[in-house]
Amino acid sequence: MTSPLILEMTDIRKSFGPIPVLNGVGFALQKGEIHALMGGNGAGKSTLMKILTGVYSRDGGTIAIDGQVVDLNDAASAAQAGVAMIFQEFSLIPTLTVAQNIFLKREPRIAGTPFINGAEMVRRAKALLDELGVDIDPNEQVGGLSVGYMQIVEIAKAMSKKARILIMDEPTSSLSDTETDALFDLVRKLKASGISIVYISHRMAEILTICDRVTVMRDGQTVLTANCTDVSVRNIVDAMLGAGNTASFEWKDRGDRPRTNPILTVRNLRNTRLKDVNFDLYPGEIVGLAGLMGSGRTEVTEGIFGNRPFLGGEILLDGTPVTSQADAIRRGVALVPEDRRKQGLVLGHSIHDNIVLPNLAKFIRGPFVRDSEAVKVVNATIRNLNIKTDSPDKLARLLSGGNQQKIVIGKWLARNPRVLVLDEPTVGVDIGAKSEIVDTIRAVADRGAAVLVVSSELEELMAVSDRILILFNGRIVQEMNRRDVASEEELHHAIQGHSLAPANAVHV
Amino acid sequence: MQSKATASLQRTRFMSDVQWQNYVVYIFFACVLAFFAVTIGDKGFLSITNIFNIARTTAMITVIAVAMTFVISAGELDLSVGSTAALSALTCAMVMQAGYPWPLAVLAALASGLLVGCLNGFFVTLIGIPSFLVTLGMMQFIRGLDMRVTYTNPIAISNKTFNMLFGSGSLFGVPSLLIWSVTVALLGLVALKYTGFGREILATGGNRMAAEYSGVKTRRIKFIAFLLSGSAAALSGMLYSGMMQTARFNFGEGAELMAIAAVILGGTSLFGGRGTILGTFAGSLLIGTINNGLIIMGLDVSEQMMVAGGIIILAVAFGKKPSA
Repeated sequence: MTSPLILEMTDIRKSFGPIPVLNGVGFALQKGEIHALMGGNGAGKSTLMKILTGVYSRDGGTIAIDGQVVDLNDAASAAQAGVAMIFQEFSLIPTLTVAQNIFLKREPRIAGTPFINGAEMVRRAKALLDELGVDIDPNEQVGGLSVGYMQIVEIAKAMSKKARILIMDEPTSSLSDTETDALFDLVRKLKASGISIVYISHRMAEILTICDRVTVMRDGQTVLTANCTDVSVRNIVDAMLGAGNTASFEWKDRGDRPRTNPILTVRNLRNTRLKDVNFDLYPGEIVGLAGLMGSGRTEVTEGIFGNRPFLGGEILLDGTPVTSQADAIRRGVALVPEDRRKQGLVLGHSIHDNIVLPNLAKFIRGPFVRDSEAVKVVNATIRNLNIKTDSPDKLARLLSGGNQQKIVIGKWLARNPRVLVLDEPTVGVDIGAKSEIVDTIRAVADRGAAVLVVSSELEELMAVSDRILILFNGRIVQEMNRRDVASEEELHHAIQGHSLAPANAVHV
Repeated sequence: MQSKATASLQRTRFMSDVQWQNYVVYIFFACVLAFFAVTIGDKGFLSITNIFNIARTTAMITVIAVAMTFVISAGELDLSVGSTAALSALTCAMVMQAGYPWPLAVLAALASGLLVGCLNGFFVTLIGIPSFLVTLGMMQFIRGLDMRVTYTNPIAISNKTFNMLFGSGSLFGVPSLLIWSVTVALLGLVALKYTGFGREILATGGNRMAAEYSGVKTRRIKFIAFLLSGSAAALSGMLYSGMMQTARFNFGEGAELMAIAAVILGGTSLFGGRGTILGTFAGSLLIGTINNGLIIMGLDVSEQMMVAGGIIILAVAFGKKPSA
């Protein structure tokens, strides 16, 4: 490919205090290409993109757009230069309509008056959305749209500002399969019209599908730039991890467990979504739970944890029923919930306080909490899970996604759980932390606990599970020994193979 | 939450990491004291009598504010405390007027505060109405009740023991009001900082859902916070009546807002999850000192209100974290 460069960043340097974050990074974007930017947390990709969007100012290096050296010292000049970022957490106002959001602060006026020309605004929004080939009513409230559509509105907003370089940060992380396909169509359309896209994602398969080139960053430097057709997943992972050690992503045959004396037994579980769920978890095994979105995965995990009422059936721990969430926790059930920011952590509290919270009872003497005793456990947790922080008093909010997830896992491991349930444990987690989490899961099972992993990333289920349960429409419809599953495709097929009404089922 | 976790991990601290905003209430307190000491130090501001006077006049607000710190840290608000204080004062006075011994009157007063706390807790945690609305309504309702039962007439309290204990007395020269407020503040400090209940309050206010998923019974925690608030309001009402040797329907008018101001000035987050009793205590004293100093300076009530209001806004503005 020899398209002219639209963006060339050369020798970009940036330090925060005494800590260098970018050590002479080079990044070049061709006109009309989709360029993946990858790297673990702390590799410097978000810092680089914040420099490009004018959020941070660089300490050194040059940025050229269309061959012209530009400054990009603030967000306005970056927007002026045609750079737009599609945010991971969307920057739309849910109570306004699609058109109002697209033209926020730039509403067309009735000529000669300060009044907004609503009809004109809707007309322009419609034209824009038509151009993008999406069927969204400009008068609809954004709050009522699905996440996928919100993202499209966000893109439309960028296009209305004549953006030429779009930065997309994990755009598919909360999209369903169909939404992802729609987004990919749109991205390809944008590319065809000459827009250049920087595509940040942790998902390998996705990157190899949609991107033309890939750049990998590690420790504040560019370590790989290549055409996607010339590299394999292995090359990219090696470049990201550096050491070339990716063993934890390969499945290990941990052998079969004796099928006697299950720790956990789920019998005829029914709730709003579950119709009849039955399975057992045995000591020392890792069981994967796979299913479409809406098949009831989270209902299963929360049922086991005792924080979702059920209509029928029972959950037995060592043969005796679990009566409440308190009972489940006391008897060694731990849940790493789906949304770590909302359900897993008190973000404004320190690592210490987050880890201590579910373990309070252990550290209470009389009426008082003994923090001096807790410190040992907290430090051990930080060490064992390799949580990267300069102090246990650091606020959870200030850590990366991977380190946050390690806190959520760590706070439960401090209780030595007998049943560990993890719901989407590696969403938004970089590859380094991901492999550490996989290792941790294996270590917990090796200690004799039963582990249930729920994930929509089949790659992950294939890597960790000894057994895989397929949940469909509120029932466990199939149980597979991991050894008998030859490929991800086979698993994918199993999840959908029982689909009775595929049109309604959205796969994640 | 500032747990003093002595870490064995290496700690690096830059100057910029030291959050002086956390100490803004103490800085303001020092500035205000210095200002008044220089300007009106010779007019008796610095006399022991006046210092005790400040401590006495702020005691009721301090007691309410300590409990309010729990409520706010748990992510809720209690506006009903002022009228509850009056309700308890009246209950107490009426029980004594009817000829019952004073300890029974104290218990009745506490019961009335607990009852209000119960109702607040019920509507907030079980029915799910925002506490701002529940307690706003409760504030009106109870103030009306206070007026209705007494026809706005004061009820005199002649029991010497009660008056000495709850307002006018002193121990080794220290006014009983000061002893009450310091005791309540100490209890609150220990409870919030060093007990499991305190941790659960902060976790509930910091992220209710995460607390719930960690096994904290957040409804129960909030309910208890309202009970604390109700009983603190009751104690405060008895302090008012002990000091005035009478009970009136208008006791504690505006006390809820003063208490909230003291709590926020002290550095507790209005959105929950972060609370400091020491800060609350300092915040309450700060407000009391400003009012006292302005009176000695000879300012008119209208002027006092303007200056005090302005200082509160300034202090909170200085205490705001740049990122927040």
